[in-house]
Amino acid sequence: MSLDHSAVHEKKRVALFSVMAAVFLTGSKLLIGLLTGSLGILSEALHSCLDLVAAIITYFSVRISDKPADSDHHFGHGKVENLSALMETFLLLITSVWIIHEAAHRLMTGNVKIEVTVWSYIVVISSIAVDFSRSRALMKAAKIHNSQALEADAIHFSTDIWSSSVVLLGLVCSNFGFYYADPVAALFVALIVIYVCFILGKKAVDVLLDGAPADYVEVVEKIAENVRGLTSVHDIKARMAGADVFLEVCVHLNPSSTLEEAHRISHEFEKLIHEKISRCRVHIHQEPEECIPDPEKTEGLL
Amino acid sequence: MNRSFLTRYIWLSIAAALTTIILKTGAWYMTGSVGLLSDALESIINLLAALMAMAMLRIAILPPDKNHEFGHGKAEYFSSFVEGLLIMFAAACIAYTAVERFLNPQPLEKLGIGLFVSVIATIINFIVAGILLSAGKKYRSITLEADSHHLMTDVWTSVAVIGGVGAVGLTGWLKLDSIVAFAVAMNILRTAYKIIRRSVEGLMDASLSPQEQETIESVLSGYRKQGIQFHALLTRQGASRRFVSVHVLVPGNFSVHDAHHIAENIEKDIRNALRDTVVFTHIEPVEDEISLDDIPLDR
Repeated sequence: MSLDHSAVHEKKRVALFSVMAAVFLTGSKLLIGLLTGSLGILSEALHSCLDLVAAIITYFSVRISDKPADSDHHFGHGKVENLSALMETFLLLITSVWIIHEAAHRLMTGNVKIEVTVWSYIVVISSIAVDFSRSRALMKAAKIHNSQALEADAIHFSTDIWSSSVVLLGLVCSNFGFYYADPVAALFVALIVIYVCFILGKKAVDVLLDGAPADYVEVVEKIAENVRGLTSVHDIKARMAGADVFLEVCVHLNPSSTLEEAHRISHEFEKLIHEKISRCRVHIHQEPEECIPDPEKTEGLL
Repeated sequence: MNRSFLTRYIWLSIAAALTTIILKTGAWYMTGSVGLLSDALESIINLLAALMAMAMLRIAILPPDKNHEFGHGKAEYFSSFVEGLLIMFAAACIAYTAVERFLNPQPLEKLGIGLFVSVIATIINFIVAGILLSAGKKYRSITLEADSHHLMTDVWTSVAVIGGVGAVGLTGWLKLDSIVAFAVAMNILRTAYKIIRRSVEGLMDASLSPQEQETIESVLSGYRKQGIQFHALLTRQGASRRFVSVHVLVPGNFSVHDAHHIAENIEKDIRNALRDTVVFTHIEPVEDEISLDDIPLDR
C-alpha cells in the first residue's frame, strides 16, 4: 500500500487544529459569558459547542477514512467521510433553526435591545478571525486531498463567519440605536445556511447512494480508444467512497486471441486509467467481441 | 426483482399510525387526560416515520440510471438510520421520565378508558410490527425491519406502563413503576443501537456476512477442483442487493471466448446460490505471476 502517509497525517493535523480552535472559542465565550453575565455571549458559547461537536466528528472520520480495507470492509472506509459530511449538514440545520427561533422571538416580543460591552466586541471579532483562518486551512486541505469531511467542516466554519458578522452588525447598529437590524440580518443568514445545508447534504447523499461521479464514464471511454486490441467498452459503472473511485468496465476483445493477450491489454488499459484518475480501483470484465449480452447478467440490478 | 409491492406494507404502517392517533385523540376527548393527548402526539411521529419510509422505499425501487449505476437500493439505509434515531429519542424520553419519577414518586393516575385504548392500540401496533418484520426479513428490506422496530417501541412502552401499574398494585411500592420503565428504555435503546449500526455499516460498504461469504466460497471451490483459481474476492452489501467481484485465473492458452464462458458460468452459479447478487468477474492467465497480485485499494 503506497498511500501517501504524509497526506493522511496532514488531514488529521488540520482536523485536530479545528478541534482545538473550537475548544478555545467555546471555552473563552463560556468564561466571558459567565464573568459578564451576558446572555448573548452565553448563547454564542452554546453555538460554538455545536461547532466543537462538528469538528470532533470530522477529526474521527478523517482518522477512520484512510484505514486500509479489512475483512469487514472490502472496499475500505472512505464512505465515513461522506457520512461525516451528512452529520455536519444536520448540525448546521439545527444551528439555522435555532437562529431563526431566536430572531423570530426577538422580533415578535419586540425585545430587540441587546447589551453591548467591550467584551462583546472582543469575543465576536476574535471568533471571526479564528473561523476565517480555520475555514481557509480546512478548505485548502480538503481540495488537495479530495476530502469531503474536511470540506464540510470548512463550510461549517465559514457559515460561522457569516453569523458572527451578523452579531457584529447588530452590535454596531445597537450602538447607533437601530435595534431591528440584528434579528433581520440573522434571518437572512439562517436562510443562507439552509441553502448551504441543501448543497452539502445533496453531495453527501449522492455519494452514500453510490451515485455516479459526473465525468468518469467519458474519460474512460476516451482512454479505451487509445488501447490497441480493445474493440469496444460498455457498461462503465463508477461510484465513490470518500476520495476513492471504484470503476467497473466491460471490454470486448478478439474472441480467438489468447487469455495472455487479453490480460496484457486489460492491464495496459488499467494502467492508463490509473494515470488519468487518481485513487481509483478498476475492475475489468473481458468479453469476446461477438458476445451477445446475457439478459440474466443484468437481472440482479433490475 | 420488482420490489414495488413492498410499499403496501408501509401503507399498513400508515393505517396503524392513523388508527392509533384517532383512538387516542378520541379517548382524550372523552376523558380529558393529558397523558392520552401526549400519547396521540407521539403517534404522529410514527406517522411521519412511516411516510419517510414510504418515500425512501419509493426511491430504493427505482431502476439503475445514468446517475446511479449501482441502483438506488441504499436509500433504504437513510430511512432505517432516521428510524433508529427516532427510536433512540423515544428511549431517552422514557428513561428521563423514569428517573424523574424515581426521584419524585407520584401516585399513578387512574387509567380506566385510557388503559382500554392503550391496550387496543398496542395490539394493533404489535400485529402490524409482526407483519412488517417478517416481510422485512423475507424480502431483505431494512426499511421495513426498522419501521417494525419503531412500532414495537410503542408496544414496549405500553407494556411498561401496564406492567408498572400491575407491579405497583401487587407490591404497593411506587418506585417499581419507574424501575420497570427504565429497564424497558434500556431495551429499546439496544434495538436503536443495532438498527443505527446496521444502517451506518451499510452506508460504509460493509462486506457480506461470513455465512454469505462461505456460500460464495463453496461455489468457487467447485471450480477449484477443475483447476481454476480465484483471488481478490470483494463483497459488499447494498441494502437488498449483494455485490460480489472476483478475479478468475484460468490457463493462459485459453481463448478469450472460452475463458469468458467459464466466467459467465461462475457468475451464474453465484447468482443462483445467493439471490439478488450482482457478480462481476475479471479473467486472468494463471501462469502470469502479476495476475495473483492483489491490487491494494489505494495506489
